[in-house]
Amino acid sequence: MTFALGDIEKHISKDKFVELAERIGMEIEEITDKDISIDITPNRPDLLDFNGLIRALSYMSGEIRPDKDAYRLKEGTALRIKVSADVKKVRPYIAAMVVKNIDLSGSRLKYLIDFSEKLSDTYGRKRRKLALGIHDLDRIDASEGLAYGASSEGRIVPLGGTKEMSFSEVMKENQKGVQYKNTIANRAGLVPFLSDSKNVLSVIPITNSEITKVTGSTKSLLVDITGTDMKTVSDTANIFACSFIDMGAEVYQCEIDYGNEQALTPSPEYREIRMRLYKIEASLGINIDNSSAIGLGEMMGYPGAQYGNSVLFYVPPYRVDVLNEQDITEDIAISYGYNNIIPEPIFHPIAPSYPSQITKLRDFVTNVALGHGFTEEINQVLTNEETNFTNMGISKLDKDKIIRIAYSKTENATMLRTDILPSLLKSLSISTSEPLPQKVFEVGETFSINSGKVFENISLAMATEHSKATFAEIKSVAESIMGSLGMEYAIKAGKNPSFIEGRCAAVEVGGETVGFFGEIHPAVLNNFKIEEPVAALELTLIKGIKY
Amino acid sequence: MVRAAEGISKEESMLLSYLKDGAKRSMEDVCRALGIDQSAAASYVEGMENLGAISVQRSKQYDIQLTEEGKRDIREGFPEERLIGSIAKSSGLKISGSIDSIALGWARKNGWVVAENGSLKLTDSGKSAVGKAYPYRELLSSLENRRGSMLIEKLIKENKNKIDELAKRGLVTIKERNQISSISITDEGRKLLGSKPEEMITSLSRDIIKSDIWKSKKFKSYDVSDPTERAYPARMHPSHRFFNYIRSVFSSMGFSEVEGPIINNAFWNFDALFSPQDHPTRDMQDTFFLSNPKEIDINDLEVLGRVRRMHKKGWKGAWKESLAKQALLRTHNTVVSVKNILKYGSLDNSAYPVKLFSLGKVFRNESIDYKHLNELNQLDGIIIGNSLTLSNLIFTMREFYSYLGIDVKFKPSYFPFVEPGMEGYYYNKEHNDNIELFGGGIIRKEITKAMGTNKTVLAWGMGLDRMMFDYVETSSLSEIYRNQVGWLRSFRYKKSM
Repeated sequence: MTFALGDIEKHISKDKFVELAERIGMEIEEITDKDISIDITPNRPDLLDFNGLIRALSYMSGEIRPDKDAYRLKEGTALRIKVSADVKKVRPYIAAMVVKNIDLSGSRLKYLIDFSEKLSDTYGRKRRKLALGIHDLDRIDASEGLAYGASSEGRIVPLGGTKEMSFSEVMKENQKGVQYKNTIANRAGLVPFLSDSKNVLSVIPITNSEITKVTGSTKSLLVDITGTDMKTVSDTANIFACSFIDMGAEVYQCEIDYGNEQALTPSPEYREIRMRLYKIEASLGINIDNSSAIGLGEMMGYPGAQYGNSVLFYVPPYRVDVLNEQDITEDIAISYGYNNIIPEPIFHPIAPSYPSQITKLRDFVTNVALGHGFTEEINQVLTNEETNFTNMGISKLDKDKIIRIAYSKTENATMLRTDILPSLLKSLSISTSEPLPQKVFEVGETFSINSGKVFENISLAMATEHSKATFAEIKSVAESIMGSLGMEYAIKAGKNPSFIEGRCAAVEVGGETVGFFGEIHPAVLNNFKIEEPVAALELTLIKGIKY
Repeated sequence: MVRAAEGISKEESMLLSYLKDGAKRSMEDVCRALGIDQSAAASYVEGMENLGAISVQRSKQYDIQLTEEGKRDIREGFPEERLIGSIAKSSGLKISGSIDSIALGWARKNGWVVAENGSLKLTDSGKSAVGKAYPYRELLSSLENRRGSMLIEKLIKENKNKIDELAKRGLVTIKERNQISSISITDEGRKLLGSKPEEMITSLSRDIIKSDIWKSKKFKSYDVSDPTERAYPARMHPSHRFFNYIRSVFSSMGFSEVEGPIINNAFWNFDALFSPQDHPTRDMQDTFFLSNPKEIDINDLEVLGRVRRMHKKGWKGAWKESLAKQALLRTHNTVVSVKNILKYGSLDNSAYPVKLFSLGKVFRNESIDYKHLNELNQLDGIIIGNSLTLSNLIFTMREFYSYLGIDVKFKPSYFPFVEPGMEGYYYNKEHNDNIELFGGGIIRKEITKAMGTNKTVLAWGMGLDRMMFDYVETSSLSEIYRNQVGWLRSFRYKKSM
């Protein structure tokens, strides 16, 4: 979120703002001579609001103390919204409030709109789960209440537009319509809307009507919050109600008539969470007493009170992220200051630590291969069919045996490699100007799937490129590797399209083929643009690691 | 002549008889015919030429040496590369006197930058050049790597113009020298062929060693300044070496290493870690979901039930098993940690604390550039035990980073699976910025309960790739995993491990 320095400095100095914001765990992205950009963590939607952020920082600095009577609504129900049966099928929940005597001059309107846009985008999952509409109440004819419905037909003058459009035109021609129409896609073509007795006020979650457009001089608002999740909708209504009250405005409830039941929104109430000090101490490793706990809670905006041996914390209505005492404990840690916590060692009996079996194997094989004069590579396991198969001369492939990526942003990553050798040949292909011989190896992960069973393997591949690279050279190395692993193996004539026929051997262990070695086929060398002979091996060291 | 008194050796005699048909031969021909290497052959040819027994034609060759500046540019990048790198980072650079004029000149010449409203902007070709291999640097590094090799002649011939540019910039020095292009016998030589050669030892052999021949004969001497082929050692990949170093530090602190699969379902990668099912990271845009296999079953029905309850109670929304079964490539190693909380959550009390780490690949569906890879390496650690505190985690992290010489600081941060959550960072002088080191905290009770334990679990995760910049001289992460053989042979370490 970006806030103007001038607005911030009406409340708090620039340096203090930066210091306190970082202290509560928010990251300052950029400071210019005009404004400050700040990154808000996703658990704190209340801080996307300029008023909410200033509020939190003022508690932290001790400038104001939290008061559990702070968020009182005005008496009485402002208006009634009737929910139709149709809209319950597509976007079932709505909350609304009426706001009077609000001052939207200066940056206030911009911040309100930025806040609602950002909240709908993140917390509201790009308006699918939640969207907000903010209207000029004085332009609404609420004499017979409002209707929240869904229809395939209807007309509206979209925000910023001059002519009336049908709902289907909005979806096709309006920029927001194109952007968000998928969020409400349903077979019946039902489009949620809010209307008064004369006009459609908004097509949800696409656009408001130009008629009820809010400006800097608007004094009264109708705010509607709609969505697919009841808790998210009512939480959001409470966050906004608190923000409006902090702006000095009056907030009135609206009555939502679902037919079978009625609800009053918003209802910004404090929740009580009882905390035992020893639990906070045991979790954080600090020593505190009741009054300092209350003080630390107040710095995070919780009014607190002693309650026997424990402390009652009152969770403000905008703190929708607080689930239970763990969250309060974190907030106590934040106001205490993470860097003020004295680091304490964990005492325990002396016990050995163990490397993983795979690390042991990897290091062992690496040492043998290095000893043979091969240099180690570590390549990516993400690859594509061209590198893994086509370039290796493998044309017939069983797609069911490959681990495939559903959607990738890059065409280089469509599957997981089945072999390491293509990675090695690729590296030789970008190294053709380097002096020969070039000898490289990699020990790493390869992948396959058979009848739904996934195999994550550890394989070894080695390649030697020079004018006299032959079957005999790679055979000596292969036998040395198998020997050093202590494996009983047999070498048979092999058939593998990546190698020259008659110059390829298969390595068998217990009657099963675990790998191949031999002279790489000239067609494969051509595919990789390698100009000198290459002899290579590929061995599966562990087939299907058992975790 | 001194040499005449010595007579001619057996090899010199062989050289003359090889040439006696009068044909012009190259040095390579001579080496092959006599079965000797280049430095030995050069010494015979020189000797025979001095005697007037052969005639030698020479052609012009170039000796190219890198200057210190050239070597530095290989390591750190050319000034113009560094310039566009810093423009890319700040999305524009004010034109001022502090900009290196050489860098600017070359960046302009390459069409990488334009001046706009008093600041430098990257052109499209400039943007695509950032972090990419720069032909001049590639050339310079090939010149370095192939010093003394025969291939260099070809390289020089093909790139003479560019090499002249490099020389003008003071990155290389070029010396001309004459090289033998052909050898033929003279009349003098034919005469000499008739004379009896003096026996000298050229190649030492088993027979010579075992007999007493070496006592009575002289050894033919070599010109020790003759160039030889460059030798390259087999090397470990720098990331393997760095990861083993990190392993050794955790191991010395009493942590055992555990492993887990790369292919998981969303259940373990997300749901078991309390990540809500509609969370943005579960989007196709960020995570590699698989089309084969599409789903992986959740086998432990008890854990499934507990995780379902955790979500329904915590997020108050619907929880779908079908979404949890989606197969994916792990996005973090915390998936290994949570499985181990289940595995080691209910041991005999004396077995605690259990201290584990896992190190391996994690995947993000990113577009790749010099800063971002879609395949990364991460280390995740956990401590499972009774009465563990945030202060214990701070101690553990402080110990680890102080071993690496880093003064770690802590601040609050948010991850759905820890509460309290924290981030470790340090101040980097070079960048004048705080650099993130790890994220961690105390695993939420909801999760430990779902994993069937009443223990406390401290957890953290750290990316390892970026840390390598402090240990390995490189311009980009992609260079490390590109495995260009010349780079693997020549990269240097900045710090000992």
